[in-house]
Amino acid sequence: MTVVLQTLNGLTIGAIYILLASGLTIVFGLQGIVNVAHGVFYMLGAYLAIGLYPRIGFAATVAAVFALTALLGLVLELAGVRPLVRRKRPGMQVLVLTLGVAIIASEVTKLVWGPVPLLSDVPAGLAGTLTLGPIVYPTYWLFVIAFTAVLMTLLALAFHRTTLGILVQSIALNSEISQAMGTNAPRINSLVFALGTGVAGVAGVLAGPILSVYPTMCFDLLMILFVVVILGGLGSLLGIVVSGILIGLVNAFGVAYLSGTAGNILAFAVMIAVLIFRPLGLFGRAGILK
Amino acid sequence: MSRRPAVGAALVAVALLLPLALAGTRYAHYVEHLAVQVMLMGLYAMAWDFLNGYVGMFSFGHAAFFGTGAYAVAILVVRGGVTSAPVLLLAALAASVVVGAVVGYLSARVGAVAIFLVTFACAEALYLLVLTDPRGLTNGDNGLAGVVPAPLLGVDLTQPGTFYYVALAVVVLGYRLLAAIARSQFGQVLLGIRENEVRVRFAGYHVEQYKTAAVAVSAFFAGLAGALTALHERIASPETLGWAVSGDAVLYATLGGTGTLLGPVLGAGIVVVAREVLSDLFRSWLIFVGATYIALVFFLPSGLFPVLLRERRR
Repeated sequence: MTVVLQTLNGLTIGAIYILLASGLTIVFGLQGIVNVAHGVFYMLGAYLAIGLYPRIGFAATVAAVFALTALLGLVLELAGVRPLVRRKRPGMQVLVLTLGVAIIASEVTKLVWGPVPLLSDVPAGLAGTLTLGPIVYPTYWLFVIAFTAVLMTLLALAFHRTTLGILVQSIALNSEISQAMGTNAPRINSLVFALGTGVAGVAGVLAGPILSVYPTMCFDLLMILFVVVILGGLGSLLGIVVSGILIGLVNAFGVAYLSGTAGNILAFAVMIAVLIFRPLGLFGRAGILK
Repeated sequence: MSRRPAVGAALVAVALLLPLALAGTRYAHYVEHLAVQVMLMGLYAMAWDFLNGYVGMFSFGHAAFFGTGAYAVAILVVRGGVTSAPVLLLAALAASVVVGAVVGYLSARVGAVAIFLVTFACAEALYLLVLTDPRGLTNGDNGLAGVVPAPLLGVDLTQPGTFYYVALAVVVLGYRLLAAIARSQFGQVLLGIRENEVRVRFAGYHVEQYKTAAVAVSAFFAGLAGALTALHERIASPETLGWAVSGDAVLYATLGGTGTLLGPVLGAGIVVVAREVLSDLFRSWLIFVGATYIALVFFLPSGLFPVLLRERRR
């Protein structure tokens, strides 16, 4: 039974990783940059949910947090990232910039909400447990898995079936040629960046009741998030789904059978093993978004 | 370029005279302690700068090397009872180079931005390992205190004045070595990789091997700084492996000016002193650090050092 329970735990944690990594990996595929402040939107989502949920309900909280974090992401992209991408080694410049943003955000969070970890309530309708034969499992955790599955399916459909999705793929494949054909790459890049930070905000709302909410959570999750993104192959959507689940499982079983930090150390070991044999990650292919 | 030797000489002169100027005053101990911190942090940032400024590899995991140096010394002193300073330093350097080679092997295989992710993940994994302490070596959260070496040939590192000059000598030597490596044929290939990796590869060089070696070289100097810091503070704490220390290298070097080797020392000097002042005045002084990052990217992407030199030329 523990094996089944740990598998479900792994899937739940993996779902959070997948939501967070999706924005990071697509933005990397498009612009070749990594946003260190990605975790800030996740943290903001978690903190906002604590205040919003009792007042406006769960569904409205998710929608409001998505809108707000997407808007803030858009501001960061337009004011911060866009002026830098034309420079030499834009990746490095964006790293330094977003690192600064993340440090400030973490400190401000400490000032606003205090340094003590906060607890987030499970939404009323999703509280309690679900009995599946011999297994009793929290409904909310299953909801997180289902939510992520639906969202990622929609994202994959949007990627392959809509005009915008095809345009995004064309930019990832070759930005110059795509723009020569009339694609407004900067606008699409901004849009995708904002969608990614919005999804990170939603991930924060979902993760609140599962993981704890505290001012340095935007950094503490980065290591495992980077592992997921690298393992999947930077720029690969399918890759982060697979690696998110894999790392979620490794983490859950490591924590259950070894120790609290073993999960992350094992996840790191998996990353090393994969990097030695596949330097581009499991599904990474230069310049291709999948 | 021609101004740099003069600036370097001036810095050394100031460092040599500082203890004499302060001798007998109340602040002597405090200022010397701070100055040693600046020198060791400067060496550490120089090591980072070698990698970023000369090879174009942006590491966000230099704490792994710094902390390895610190813990190698601390474990040998506290757990092994080894107190011979040369043995301690050699062991720390060997350990750092090994960690550097492993991290380098992994980093050399991935793209420029992914290096950030890989080095960060490596450092965090090491941090977690030291914190968890599965073999009972590192004393987990508390770190290892009591890192005191024995005197050797009349040189007693526990004397603050002695340590000051030893640190100064090491930093000057470190700078000369790194500058020499950058000028060597090996260094020129690294510069080539920074400028155009594909062409260097087509010229027949094994880019991955060069990158791995470059990370190991950088780890050597970062580990040296870490080892000396452990001896200076007499403790190795898990924080020496934390992401904040990795970030420090980036901050010092980008503030001072990357690709200059001397700039990072200047950056370390400014930040270490500013931290000493600001952290007393404001609890949230890290906001200044974040703001510095943002301001640097937009207004001073090449750092202070090149700007200062240009002004001197006018």
